[in-house]
Amino acid sequence: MSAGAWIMLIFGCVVLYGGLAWSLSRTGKKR
Amino acid sequence: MAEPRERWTSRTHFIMAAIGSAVGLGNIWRFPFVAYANGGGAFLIPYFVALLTAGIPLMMLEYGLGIKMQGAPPVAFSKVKKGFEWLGWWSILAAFVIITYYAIVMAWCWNYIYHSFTVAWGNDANAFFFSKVLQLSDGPGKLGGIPLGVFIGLLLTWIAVYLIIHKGVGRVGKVVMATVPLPLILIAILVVRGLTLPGAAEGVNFYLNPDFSKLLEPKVWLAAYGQVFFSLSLAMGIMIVYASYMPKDSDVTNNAFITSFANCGTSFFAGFAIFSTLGYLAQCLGCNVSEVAGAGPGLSFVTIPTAISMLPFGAGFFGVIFFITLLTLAIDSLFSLVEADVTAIMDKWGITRGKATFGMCLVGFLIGLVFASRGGLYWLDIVDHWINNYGLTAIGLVEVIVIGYVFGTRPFREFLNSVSEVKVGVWWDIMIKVVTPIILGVTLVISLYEEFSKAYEGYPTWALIVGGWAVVVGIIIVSLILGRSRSKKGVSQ
Repeated sequence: MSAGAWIMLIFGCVVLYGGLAWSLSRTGKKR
Repeated sequence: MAEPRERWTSRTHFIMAAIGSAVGLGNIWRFPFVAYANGGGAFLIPYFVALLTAGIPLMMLEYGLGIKMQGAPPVAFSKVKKGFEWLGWWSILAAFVIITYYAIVMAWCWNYIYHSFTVAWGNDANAFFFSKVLQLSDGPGKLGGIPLGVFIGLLLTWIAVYLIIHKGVGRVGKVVMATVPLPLILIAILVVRGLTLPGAAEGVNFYLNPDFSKLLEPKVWLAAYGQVFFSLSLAMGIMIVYASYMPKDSDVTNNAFITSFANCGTSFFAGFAIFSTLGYLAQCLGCNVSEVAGAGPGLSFVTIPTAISMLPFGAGFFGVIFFITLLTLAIDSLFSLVEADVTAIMDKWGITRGKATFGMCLVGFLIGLVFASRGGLYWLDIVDHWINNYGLTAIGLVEVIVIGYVFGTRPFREFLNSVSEVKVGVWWDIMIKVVTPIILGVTLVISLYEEFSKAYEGYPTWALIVGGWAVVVGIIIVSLILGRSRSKKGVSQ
């Protein structure tokens, strides 16, 4: 795999799964 | 006295159901190819921009409408402004059309799960799919009979949908706790299998190697917005209906973030299963990955089965895993569409859930027989193209204009912030009033231009009129009639 592909892999993981983790961390007691 | 509205048992059930609806076949058979064809890894940049500027704001709008108005789209839009009930019916009817052909893909999956045990497609998956399973006719003018396997698959699909939703969202909530995580686990198995095959790295490289020059092409940005828009189950009334079963003070914005990120994360993840397998296939065939890369039914029912038959061991096992993945991805998208229609009927005419569900499943099954016929694939292709490009896009456009300029984004945003864990600023107004209408408007105009430039896929004009324009115009006319019709229960509950 090229360096560019590795960088985009990390970029995708950080944005998507980081975004998901961030939104889940904001979940409080609301329904 | 009207019965109290059904409720999700918990917020988790609602979020899981919404994720299940959004995550469907497109995540596995569309996103990876769209990314590869539009700059590889570089596509992630317009994709994330589209997600943040259109996908998530629209998801907030639909959740907000459902929670604030406590009703299906016809109820919700009639409460936005008197006389706009038809807009809700427009999305409900579009969902109904999608239901009729989406179930067919699940029928194929049932067949392929059965055939996977013996890897029945052998070394010619193409002939097996088109000649044996579909028994495809020469053209849309020849419907022919219905292959028994597809008929049985369709019947199983509709029985499953009926059993899941006829008891209400309480049962749906329990079902999605299994049908949402299961395909994720199965995709993970496929990713591990794919990445440990020779040639996998080359395949993943095709998927993610960035071509940043593509970012200068407007069509790449439109492809990103299109992918986000179609992938999130927007403009079909589903998210409005699902949210309407939450209490009126429920969170909106954070739920939208969670659903959208989970959906797009699944697409990104599924790309590794697909492209690692394509890399292996290309190595086996001694060709370039670009020669085997594809999307849609061709990818899922021809290319991947071909790769599966070439696996060093466990071909049948991985075949079953792959098609159960497709089936479980599709089932919660399908029953969410049916749920949207059933709720709209219940809200309008006060029909019991059991009767509305049975009627909807029966009609969906009967109309679906057209798509199950030997010429059905042609009609499925035509109807799907029109309903996506001129149905959902147009509905989304009108939806944002109505909320943006008729209801007003400011009072709507104030409502969102009054109930939500994550507050949104003026940026949300700009996305709903300016960015999304421009993107959807441009997409619509370009699609129309291309439509009149050449016949879609070379189909005869009469077929495009019957399966395309007549369906799109027909649902607008019917929605206008339904919007003016009197209800037994009354839409403003």
